[in-house]
Amino acid sequence: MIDLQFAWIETAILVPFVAALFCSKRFPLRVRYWLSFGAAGLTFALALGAWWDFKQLRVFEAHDHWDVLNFLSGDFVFLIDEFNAPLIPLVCAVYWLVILVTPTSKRARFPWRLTFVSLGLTVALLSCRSNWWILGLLAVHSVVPVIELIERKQVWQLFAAFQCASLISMATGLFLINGQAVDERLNLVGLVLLVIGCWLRCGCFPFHLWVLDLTSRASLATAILYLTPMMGAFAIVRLLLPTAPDFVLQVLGILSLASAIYASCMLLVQTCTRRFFAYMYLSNQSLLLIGLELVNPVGLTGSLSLWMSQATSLVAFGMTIRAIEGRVGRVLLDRFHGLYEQMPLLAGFFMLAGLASIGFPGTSGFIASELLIEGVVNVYSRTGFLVVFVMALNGIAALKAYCRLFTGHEAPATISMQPRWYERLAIVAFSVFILVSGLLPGPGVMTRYHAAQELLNRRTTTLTQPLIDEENHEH
Amino acid sequence: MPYETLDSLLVLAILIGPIALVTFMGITMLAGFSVSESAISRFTFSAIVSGLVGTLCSIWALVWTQRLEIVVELGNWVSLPDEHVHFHFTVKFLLDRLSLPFLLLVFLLCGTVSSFASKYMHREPGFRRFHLLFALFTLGMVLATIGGTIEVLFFGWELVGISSALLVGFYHDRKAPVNNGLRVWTTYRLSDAAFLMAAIALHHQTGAGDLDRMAGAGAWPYGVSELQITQAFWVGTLLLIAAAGKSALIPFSGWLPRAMEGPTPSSAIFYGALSVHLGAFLLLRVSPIISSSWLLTCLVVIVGLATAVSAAFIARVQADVKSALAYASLTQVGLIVMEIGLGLYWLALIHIIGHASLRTLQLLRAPSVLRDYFNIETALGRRLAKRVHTLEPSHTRPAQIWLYRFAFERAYLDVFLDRWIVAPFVNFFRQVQRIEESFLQHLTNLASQSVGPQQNSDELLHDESAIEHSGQTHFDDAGANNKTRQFAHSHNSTEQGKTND
Amino acid sequence: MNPQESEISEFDIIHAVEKAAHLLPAQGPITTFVHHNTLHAFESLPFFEAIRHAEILFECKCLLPEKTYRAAVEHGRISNQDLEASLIEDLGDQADRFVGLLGTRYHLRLALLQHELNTLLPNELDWIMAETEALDRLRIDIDSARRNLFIEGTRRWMLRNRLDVFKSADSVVEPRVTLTAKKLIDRVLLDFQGAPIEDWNDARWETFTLRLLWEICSYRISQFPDKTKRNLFVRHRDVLLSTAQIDSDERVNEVLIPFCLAWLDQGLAATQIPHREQGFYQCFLTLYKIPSPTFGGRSSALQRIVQDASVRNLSATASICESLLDLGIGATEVEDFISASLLALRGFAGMIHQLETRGDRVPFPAQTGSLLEFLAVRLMIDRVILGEISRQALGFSGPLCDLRVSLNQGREVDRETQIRCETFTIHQLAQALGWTPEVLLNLSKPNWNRLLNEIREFDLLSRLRVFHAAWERRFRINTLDALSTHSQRKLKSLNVPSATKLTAFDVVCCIDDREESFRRHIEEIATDARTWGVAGFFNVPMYYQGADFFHFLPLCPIVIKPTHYVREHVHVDHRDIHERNVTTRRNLGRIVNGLNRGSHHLISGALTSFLGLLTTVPLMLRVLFPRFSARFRHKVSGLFAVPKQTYLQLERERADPGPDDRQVGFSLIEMVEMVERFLRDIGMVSDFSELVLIIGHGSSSLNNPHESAYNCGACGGGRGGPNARVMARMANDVRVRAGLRERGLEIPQSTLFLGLYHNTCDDSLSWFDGSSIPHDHVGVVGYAKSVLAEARKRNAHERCRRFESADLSITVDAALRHVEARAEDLSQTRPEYNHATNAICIVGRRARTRGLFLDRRAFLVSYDPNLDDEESTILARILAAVVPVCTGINLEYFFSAVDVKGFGCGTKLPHNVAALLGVMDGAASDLRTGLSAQMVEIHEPLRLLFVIESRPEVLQKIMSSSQLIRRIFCGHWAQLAILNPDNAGLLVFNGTTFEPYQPESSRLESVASSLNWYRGWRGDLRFAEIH
Repeated sequence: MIDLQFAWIETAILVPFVAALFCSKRFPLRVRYWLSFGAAGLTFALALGAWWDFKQLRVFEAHDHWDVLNFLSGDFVFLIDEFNAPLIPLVCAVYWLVILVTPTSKRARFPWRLTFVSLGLTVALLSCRSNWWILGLLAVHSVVPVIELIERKQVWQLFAAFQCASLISMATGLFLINGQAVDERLNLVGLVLLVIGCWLRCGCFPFHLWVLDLTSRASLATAILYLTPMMGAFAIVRLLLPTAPDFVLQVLGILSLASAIYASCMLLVQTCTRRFFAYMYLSNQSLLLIGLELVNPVGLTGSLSLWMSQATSLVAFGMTIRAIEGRVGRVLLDRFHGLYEQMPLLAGFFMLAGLASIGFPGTSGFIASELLIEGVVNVYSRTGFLVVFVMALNGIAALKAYCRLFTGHEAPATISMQPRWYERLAIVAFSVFILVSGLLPGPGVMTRYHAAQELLNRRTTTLTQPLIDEENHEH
Repeated sequence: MPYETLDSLLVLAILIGPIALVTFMGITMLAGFSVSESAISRFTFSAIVSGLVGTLCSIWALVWTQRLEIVVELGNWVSLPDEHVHFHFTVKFLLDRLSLPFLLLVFLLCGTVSSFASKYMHREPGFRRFHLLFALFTLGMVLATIGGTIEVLFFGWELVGISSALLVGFYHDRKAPVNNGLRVWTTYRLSDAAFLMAAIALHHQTGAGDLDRMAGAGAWPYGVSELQITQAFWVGTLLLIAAAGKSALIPFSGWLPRAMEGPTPSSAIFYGALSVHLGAFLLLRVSPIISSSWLLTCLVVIVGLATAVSAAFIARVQADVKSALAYASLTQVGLIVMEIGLGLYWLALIHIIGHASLRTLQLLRAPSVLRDYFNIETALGRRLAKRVHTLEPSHTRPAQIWLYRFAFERAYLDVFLDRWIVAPFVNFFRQVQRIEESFLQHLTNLASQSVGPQQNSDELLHDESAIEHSGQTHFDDAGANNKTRQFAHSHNSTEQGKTND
Repeated sequence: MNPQESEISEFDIIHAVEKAAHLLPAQGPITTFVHHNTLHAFESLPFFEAIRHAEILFECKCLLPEKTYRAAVEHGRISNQDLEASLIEDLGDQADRFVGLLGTRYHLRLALLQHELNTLLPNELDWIMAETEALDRLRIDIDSARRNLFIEGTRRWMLRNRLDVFKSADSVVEPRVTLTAKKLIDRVLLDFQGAPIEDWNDARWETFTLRLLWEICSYRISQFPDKTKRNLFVRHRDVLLSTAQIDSDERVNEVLIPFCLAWLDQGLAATQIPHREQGFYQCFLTLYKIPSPTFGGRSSALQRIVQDASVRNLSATASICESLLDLGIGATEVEDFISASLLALRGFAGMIHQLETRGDRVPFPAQTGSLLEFLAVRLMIDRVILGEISRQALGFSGPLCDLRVSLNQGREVDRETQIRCETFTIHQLAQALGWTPEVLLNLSKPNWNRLLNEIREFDLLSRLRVFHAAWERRFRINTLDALSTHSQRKLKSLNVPSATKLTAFDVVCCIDDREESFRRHIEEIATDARTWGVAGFFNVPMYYQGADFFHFLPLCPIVIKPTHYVREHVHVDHRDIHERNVTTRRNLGRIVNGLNRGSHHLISGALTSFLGLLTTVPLMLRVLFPRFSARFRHKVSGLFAVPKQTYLQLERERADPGPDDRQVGFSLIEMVEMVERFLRDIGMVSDFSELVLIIGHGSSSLNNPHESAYNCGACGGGRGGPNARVMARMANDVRVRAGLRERGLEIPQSTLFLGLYHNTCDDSLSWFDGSSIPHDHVGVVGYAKSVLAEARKRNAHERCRRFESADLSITVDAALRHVEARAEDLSQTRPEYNHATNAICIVGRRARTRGLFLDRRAFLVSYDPNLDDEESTILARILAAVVPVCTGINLEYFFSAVDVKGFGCGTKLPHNVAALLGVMDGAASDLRTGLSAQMVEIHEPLRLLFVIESRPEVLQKIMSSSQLIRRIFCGHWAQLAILNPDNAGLLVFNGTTFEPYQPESSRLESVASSLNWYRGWRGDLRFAEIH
């Protein structure tokens, strides 16, 4: 396998962990903030470097230059391929910006260390392809919010129970598939368990309760960072997509559709911004999953593109809600708040994020959702139209939330609550990304298309060969 | 193609103004530059004039080169090079005998209204917001008019939708405009979903969304659809729903009078003139599909006629100027749709153009109605108001009262939609929400008890009361006003924030 | 429910409705807009008491926001002396009350006024405290001495008292630091671990001091919570809104507003509502009792109630009784509940009441008792909606009467928030006043209590009251100084007999503030011209029918109901042309009306739509080239206009006046009386010039539903041209002059009276009866014409300085073109600024004010005290008309300007003319009364300052005889000053007595012309002398 020119990935994983060590409470808040800001920025830069390097190589996959883990375990643990190359920088950027926009009022309680641990784990997870490594990292990753919940003296058991169930289910499934390749029935049981595990991890309907629990109990930043990289979907891509037979994926597709419809309908009756965010996440992730399970290039491309755009728009959503909470406390969506006069820029940004998340023309989600719908219709024909319906409902919900938060009431502002400089920076960065990738979708879609093709190729190769160890297959 | 360069230049000339305007307004708004009122007005006006000149040149080119249509394909915006499923998003523009007159109308009316608004909106705090939305609207109208593929048309269609909804809610410090804007947006989203479905179905069936290909050979209005009858029926029905939403045809009529919340010029341009005719324009654009299925034709005629007749009745009882004008417009839009159903395309086009101009003038001078009444009364030498329908109680037939009530309640459309579509939906999911909550609560209790009692988690009873708890915050009384709690919570957090600083 | 509460008699209800009717807006149909005091219901109370009531009742702001006043202080618009003086006046004898250690009440309040204490909303507090350095750094407006006191003082004090340095067993807390204090200090110190206290730098001490201060304040405030009671909600809706965030009125309005509109409609809808003449209530029952296919729900609940009422033949009053019972309203709350219910949709309720009491102004008046019926209907709908909400949203199934009680119980005051907000205020105050932590810790508990009570008592409205009084004081002083200085300079010329200087012509204008500049320019151009001011109906109350009118219009103040009729006729020579034109106009009118109405209908609408393409031409011309298209239109319509050669039918044949042909006009005696009173009122009894021009005024603008508000207030929102013409004709009449001579008023043969009409919007002048000018007057008329032509140009130019869309460098000719275009522009929302900026009313001889630049802010009434009799009957009758009219205008502007959304009608851009009676916001809202944001945006809300040239005893007598005038001046609804007729002395009325006024300065700039003074400036100007 081809080497990158530098140990980009490993360094990118290492930096956050080192930063976590240094983020002790002994340092003043300001120092901690800037340290974190720098470290996250560095991670982002490294991830970008890995992508750039990978692009230069023009290969399907590559690994780090001095692969230490390879040396230890005799195996390439961290790989970069078409699929995860842009995802890693995206996730790093999300962490970076979330850290950046932490308002002063929240900094004291911001879990700096945990965030960095989480960042390191996420990067590692995203660059993994080996099943057991992925499973292990998923397990460790889900511990992070648990620690935070415990620190906040919140009920953590519910969340933990769901995550445990998911992990156990996945592990058993994998074990059965890998170990008992001969027995058809056990194989099937393994597959079902794996599916259930992934499904639990995604938090799709009807296993979505932990998402609601997490968003309302953990800090919003943690919730955003745990949810928006969509690790459940990642698990499906890595664990299920290459091996699962078509009918399983189709059933999953139908379930995702049901989940999407459920979430977008529930979205319309939400009264709490946090829950609104949770359902927005659920609805968007379900849409994306539908595309993943289509197993046709158009749908898969759509889904992968949607991944990028939904992650950004969801983070943008979350960020705006966080900014509002930082200013006026938690707000409810059953009444009008009229915050526009106080924070017009945030209002505009919220609107833009909302439009992007519903695939409005000219924003990053447009082409992605068109591709997705096209793919869905190709496979499911009439029922595929329900996706369109889901998007329409999301659109209504997004504008409704905008109206409730920013309009309908003359809020007597005695002080200006305009974004601070760091928020401005993040707003501009996100807006530019949303608009530029919306108006010039070509390159982005093409990389996703290549990734989709590669995923499909791998799937066809694994499915045609008897199920053998993935690891061996890599050589 | 001998005229390829010329054609591209023409399209460029039409589009450059609106695009530059949107970019200018958007960037200055995002970056927070201050731009003077007069600069905005001038920029808007000149952008529209440049588009107008482009349109005139195109008309001249069409006549001069003796062609029936100009098709400009700018290439693929996105295309996937796959052999099995090919997806491409072609950017293509169609200048023909349908789009050019309509485009001319768009630019003329937008130009006039922008000039009107530059004075009318003088010193208004939302001056810039208005002009940004107005620019988006203009661009959307232009794209929807000259779009050569259904995707481009959709792009423009959506821009028109969002700018309309936000302009209805322009005075967003009051609830009524915002609620009405949301209503408009909801209607638009649902009918746009139908549009998207139609577009996808077309794609699926003909392999492309090109309007000229879909309409088969021949320039508008002589195209013949290549679709089969059933296909045409379903696609056409979806498009009819899309058009009904945008043009406020039955059963979506309820939003039109409610949309009269924005400043007068926006009401004029949207609901009197352009936006409300966009649905009819769409039907004209896809007229080959409509004419290829007799069932669909009937449907279009019925929807048009029903809209026209009911709106005519409703218009008679409206006691405020703008609602009266809204329903008067709707009457004509219904008639136009009926004409399209009957195949009178040219008539419909002329009807659209004449009607749009008339309503713009009427809506722009709607505040003059008092003076008009005085002037006309003076000229006629009598009172205009007559006691026509105030017969003796015994003489008023119940049917008359029933009819009045029917018109007074605006054909019961809103009530019907609210009560039979929206309310059950919302109530059902509220119920689901409640069940979900209690289930979650149950689970939480279970989870926390299984390990040991940690804290009373009453807070999750109401979703709003799930509050970030800082380490030392404890609130035992679950019934306390949740605002108190929010506040107390943030109090503690800031206190702590400061102490750690 | 206890039995006594259920006994609500019908009489109680009728009485309560009558009482509540006074609270409703008194604005009639918008076509006859009359300015009146918005708070007319509270006129019997003193001004500041009235606004305290009004703020609660109407939920509107009655004074400007504090920010504006503070900006005025910073700008120097309000000086410190003003604040101090008005505070002393406000406190009266309480100023010296001692409040604890911290000085007198006066000092405390002054400090609260002088230092801006950001009173924040709870939600903003967090943000401020987290994102700013409110708890780390002292306020920036504190000088270094005080800063020192804080930081070093606290440091010294802390170190002095910190005894645990010597950690011996017997170390005791120093007696001066109490146990609580120790606790508080320790709590703050928790956050300052690390470096020992001795090593702290200044910044750290600063933070520490502020934190400690916060803790102390917070601790003390929590000990003395604010006990002011919140008023309980009267209506169910208010309780619902505050507890469940559901506004039931929104849903009620969905039913009620369309019905009110349809019922009130004066001919806008093509089909009238059936059974309108049976009254509001019956009409509603008829319409809503028929079964409708609205599929259950609200409509069927409503239908049940309505059917029940109509089957039982329930009267409106009985229905109200039932509703009140159903809603659980006790007999004690009936009045409050009814007035709150009526005020909930006050625009419509007020309009119904207006049409009920003054139905003569509209084609379809309302029956007596309509307001009561409106209430009955409203309560019916209220019941249905409340039932619906309580069932659906709250899951409340009990009877409605329990709803309010059960909801009211759920409300709690969030004390925590209150404490934090108050702490923030006092924290800032302490910094501003130098109350160090040491001082505050040592302040005893009772003193804290007293201090807090003082601060709470001096709430926002009380602060604003002082600010506002100071703001008005500054303006009053400026005005009176200018008047006093100017008078002193003028006195000499006043005493010299005027015979030395011949007057070329006289101009009599309306007292309107807009004519002030016009008069000033005339006097500047022609030094030999005199101007006069009199209420613009020129003492001719009449119904008038122009040659092209089809009915009589009242032209007189709204308080007078005219008895006489005047008709205009075309000269016999031009009758045939006139007849032809009438027919043409009628035909054209028919066509236009047909097209207009037809465009709303199905088939005719289609036909007009095909013609619609033609409308692009007028549309674009009118929008892009308003002035050009207006000229074109006037040219065309001029072809069919009424010929210029008309005469007035002035003299009555029959004894009793009436609208019939022979009853039209006045008798000779009446004419003589009217002319005499007119001349005597303004004091024009001798030294007549050759030409007296009487100029009525009005205003024309396009696309403006409020057009009539711009017209002459003295003509009841009509145009005063005809009145001027009538007066001129009468004064010219030889027989009238003979009659006058008998009464001792000699008008020379050579004097000619001419009527004119001044359009204040485009500053055009029309001359009446030009054909009757005798030859020997042609010269002087020509001269006057040229003067007036120049004056109107200059007037237009002066007005242009206020319009942002006109360049400041505009030339005089361009200015005239600009105002002409404004009047004809469809898209113009500010054709003119009307009475905006009005602030003064001067009653006296013009000679006292001539040459004073009053910036179009003054009503000028001509009155000569030397010609008045012993009883001062002239002044009494002048004031009886002028005081209510001018204060009405002034107060309407006042309240619309302070709360343009509450008292005014908001921005006019989304307005929608409804029922030909008023305007709504957008698609459906309450009828909006008051003035629009575009009308008042430059208005400075000041109570009108009357300066009357008279003597105190005269005024005292007038006030004692007229209750209205007494209320206005003694209740401070307007300010009053007196100018001594013989010298420049001034007296100011303080509510009970007149006090001599000492001018503050005698500075009064002197410039060559008005132009030199106002050039290049948009805002308000100081006064100046034009020589």
